[in-house]
Amino acid sequence: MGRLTTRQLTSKRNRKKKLNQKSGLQPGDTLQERYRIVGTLGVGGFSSVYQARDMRFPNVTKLCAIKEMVISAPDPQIRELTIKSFEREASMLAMLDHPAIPDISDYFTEKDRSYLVIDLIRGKDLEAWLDDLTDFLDQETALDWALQLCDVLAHLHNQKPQPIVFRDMKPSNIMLDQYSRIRIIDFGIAKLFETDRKGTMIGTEGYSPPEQYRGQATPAGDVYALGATFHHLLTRQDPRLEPPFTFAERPISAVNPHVTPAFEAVIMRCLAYDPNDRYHDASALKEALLVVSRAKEAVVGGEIGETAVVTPLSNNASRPAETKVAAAEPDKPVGNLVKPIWTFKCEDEIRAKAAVTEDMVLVGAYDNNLYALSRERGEFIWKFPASDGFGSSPYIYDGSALIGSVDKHLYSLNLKNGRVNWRFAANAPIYSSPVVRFDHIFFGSDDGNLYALSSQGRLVWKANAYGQVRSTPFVDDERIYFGTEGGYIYCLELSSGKVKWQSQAKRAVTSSPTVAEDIVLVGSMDSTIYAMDAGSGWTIWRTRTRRPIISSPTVHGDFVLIGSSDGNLYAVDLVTGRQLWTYETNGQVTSSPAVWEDSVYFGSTDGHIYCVSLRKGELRWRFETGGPVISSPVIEEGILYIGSSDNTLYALPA
Amino acid sequence: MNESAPLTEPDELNGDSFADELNGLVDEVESSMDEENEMTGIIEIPSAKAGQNDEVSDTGASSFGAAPGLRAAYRTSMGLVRNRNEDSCLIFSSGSGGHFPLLPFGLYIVADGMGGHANGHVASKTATRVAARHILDKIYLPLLYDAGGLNQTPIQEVMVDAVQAANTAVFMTDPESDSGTTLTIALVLGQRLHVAHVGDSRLYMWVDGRLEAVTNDHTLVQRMRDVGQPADDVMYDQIKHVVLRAVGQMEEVEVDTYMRLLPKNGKLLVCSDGLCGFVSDEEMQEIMNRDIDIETMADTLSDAAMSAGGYDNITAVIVDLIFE
Repeated sequence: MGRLTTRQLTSKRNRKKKLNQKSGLQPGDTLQERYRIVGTLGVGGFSSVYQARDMRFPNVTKLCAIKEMVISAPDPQIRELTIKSFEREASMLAMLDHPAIPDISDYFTEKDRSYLVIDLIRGKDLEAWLDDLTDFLDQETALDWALQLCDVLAHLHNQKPQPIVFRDMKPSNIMLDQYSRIRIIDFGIAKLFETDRKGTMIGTEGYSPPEQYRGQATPAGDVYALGATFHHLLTRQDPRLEPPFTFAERPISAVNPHVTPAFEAVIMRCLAYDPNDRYHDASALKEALLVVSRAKEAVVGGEIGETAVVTPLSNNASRPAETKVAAAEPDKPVGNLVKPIWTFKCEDEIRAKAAVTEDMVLVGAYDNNLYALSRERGEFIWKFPASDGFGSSPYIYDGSALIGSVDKHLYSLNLKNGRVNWRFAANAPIYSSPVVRFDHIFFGSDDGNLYALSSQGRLVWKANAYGQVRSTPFVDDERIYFGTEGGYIYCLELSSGKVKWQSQAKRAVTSSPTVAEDIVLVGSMDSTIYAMDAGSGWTIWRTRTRRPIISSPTVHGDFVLIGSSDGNLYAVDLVTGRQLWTYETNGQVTSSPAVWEDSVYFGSTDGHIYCVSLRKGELRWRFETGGPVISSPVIEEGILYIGSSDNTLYALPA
Repeated sequence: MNESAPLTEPDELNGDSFADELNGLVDEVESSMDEENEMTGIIEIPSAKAGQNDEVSDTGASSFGAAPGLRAAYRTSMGLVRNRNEDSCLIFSSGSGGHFPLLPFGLYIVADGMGGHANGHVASKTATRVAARHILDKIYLPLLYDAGGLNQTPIQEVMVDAVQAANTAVFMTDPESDSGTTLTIALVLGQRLHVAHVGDSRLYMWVDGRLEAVTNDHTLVQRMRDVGQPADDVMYDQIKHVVLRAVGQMEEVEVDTYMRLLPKNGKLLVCSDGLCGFVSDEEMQEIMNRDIDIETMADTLSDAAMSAGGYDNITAVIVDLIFE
């Protein structure tokens, strides 16, 4: 049998030619009444890839990649293989959960074609990257990329019950996305590794290991192809133009003197002819690369200063085994895998969430100051002193920062200089953060009221909730939802403040509600997560945790994420309330999680900031601060801002 | 945060209470405070955002010309081959008017007693009534007692408990024999649909001319499709009747639940496999697209199954949803 492969992106050389071929779909065509074709990304032998716009989001341009496979090949055998290969790719992508593997969101057949809808990765593949550059790839970047690739290959190789072998690692299947992160594409020929099964030759000449020509696909084969890929990147010698299996005769350092002997040795071992002489899988290779990376870091370690430095490990899913050991022995120092971009020290604890403007980060601290810092470097711009601490988050509105203070006032501050535009006095401290909707400001106070102010700070209405309001209201087009320390959850009409409905928990509701798909979600000190119908207030489901909940829920797709003081972050299903996964920390999770791409970020009173995968709750990294992390992260453009009880605000790469 | 903290009487909460006293709050606003402006008290919602209110208006005639609310029709028959109707269905639509209208409430249940089993017709009757009793008791009666919104059992739990109650009732009535039934329950509360489902009866939602199945069949055919090994024609004929889950066959039953926000206008179809097993989704959709009343629609669907042979008992429940 010949090669049966699909390509998301053919190499640049072929791309121009192939784009001229007649493709099945034209810009403007719509699939499933949902995906409008915008253009063609690539055309291969059996499949084409289009860029499409998801019309389910009519107000924004949400793009995706759609892979089309024609299943009308005249030869019934090919036809069947085509369908199988397509279905396999769909199931495989659906099964895999890794930041470097594109997410599949849909799968359907129309007429005689099948389609996969996957993440559109913006960036370029490494083959195009090679074409565009004349210089050698530097070792630092190569190590970073290699570690990222090992991480994703290890994810494949560690699949149960059988490892998945990617089988086609090469520059054109690796993309560098807009955040300079490695993504792998084209799972058209990835294969569930079955030990005793003979396969057929599949792959790309030059990069594929010798045994693959005999029909064997093993994790060690992927190690070889990874080695071949980096040999190509570091030497600029295209293995497809060289005699097969001649890497040993073409040492990297002979061409590129900037590569250290240690790194070269690792790459060359990947390229051993006999699979038994290579690293047996990606995890083993990763260990070896880490040694090279650490040695390198030790040399340049002293140079790491204030500039943004992300170690190569920052994008790796960490090794859970090691983490667990570390968690069990907190006194043992664990190197932070993530390095802060900057930090800023206040004089007292930061318990509230920061707010981010175009060029500033604002955060209130218990030292009575609201700080405005430059977003890029964390440099002090101004501070505003209140007469008591700040326990709530600023809201940025129309050139001003709105923030409530324990000193009972809600302040409107000029963003440029921190001067007071106006202030409004409540009768008791304000821990609830203000929210603006339709040019009106909504917040609660310990005096038991939910206030609605005009943008000039004038009272429009207030509603007595007969209990301290510490939660931040959720305001939609018509209604306001909030909880009280008395255990009620209220829904008010936005226009008048009249009660639309109320519901009751068994204890205080300090957690701030959120609404998704007309479902109100909130946690309570009675340890329960509640889901209520936004229209009627009827409880739809409730899910118990083991200890009180102060954290506020975040919804992402069908995932409801919320922390509990039982130490766990919970992910439950939006529709059923069923627990999807939990992640356990050594402290309480009062911090409200934030989602960025496919990761969840939150703090714990064990002093760490955690990044876990959205789908499975697997640890990606954690960062140790000098005190309990009570506050919640805010993420903007891939940078996470979070304060800690060590008085410090951290800016970390998400 | 204190467990014994006194809980306030809900009726005390009064939104327009800013009028009761402003006790100096206004004076503390540093900006020049204008007492007249401060009393306007109403926030204007931009018109584009308004009009999405789900309140039922007494007078507003809908675009269909019918009054807002839930209306249902059903048709159930023996078919042409079987000699007994083992399907059961139950419909309950509540309507209310006045200054304090109740939340829209509708309960629609279809059960298909197991063909070939001794007492399929008894099992389906028992299941529909026990489940309906449980749901009316836990949700509808509290609505009449004005207890909605406080201390209720979550709907999700009520739905699952209703099926478990039905399961126990069928199982206990006849623990020796193997009678069983499918059970598909659609509860409309407010503008939300809650579904509990066991077996191969189906619930469809019809919106804007498109019919979409909400439930998944608990059948061997479906299972094989799900695992990527669809049955071929020969096998299909052999296994098409195999139901993997049914109410009343074991001490406990696993229940699937679904939840949907309902459109302002649309229809629900709950049916037994005597209809959806013989009439294609396309044909059912075509019938539901017709401009006919729902009684005629239920008859037409049933007639279509008859024309296809009438091999099984046929039940179709149609609910017309009009929320504006």
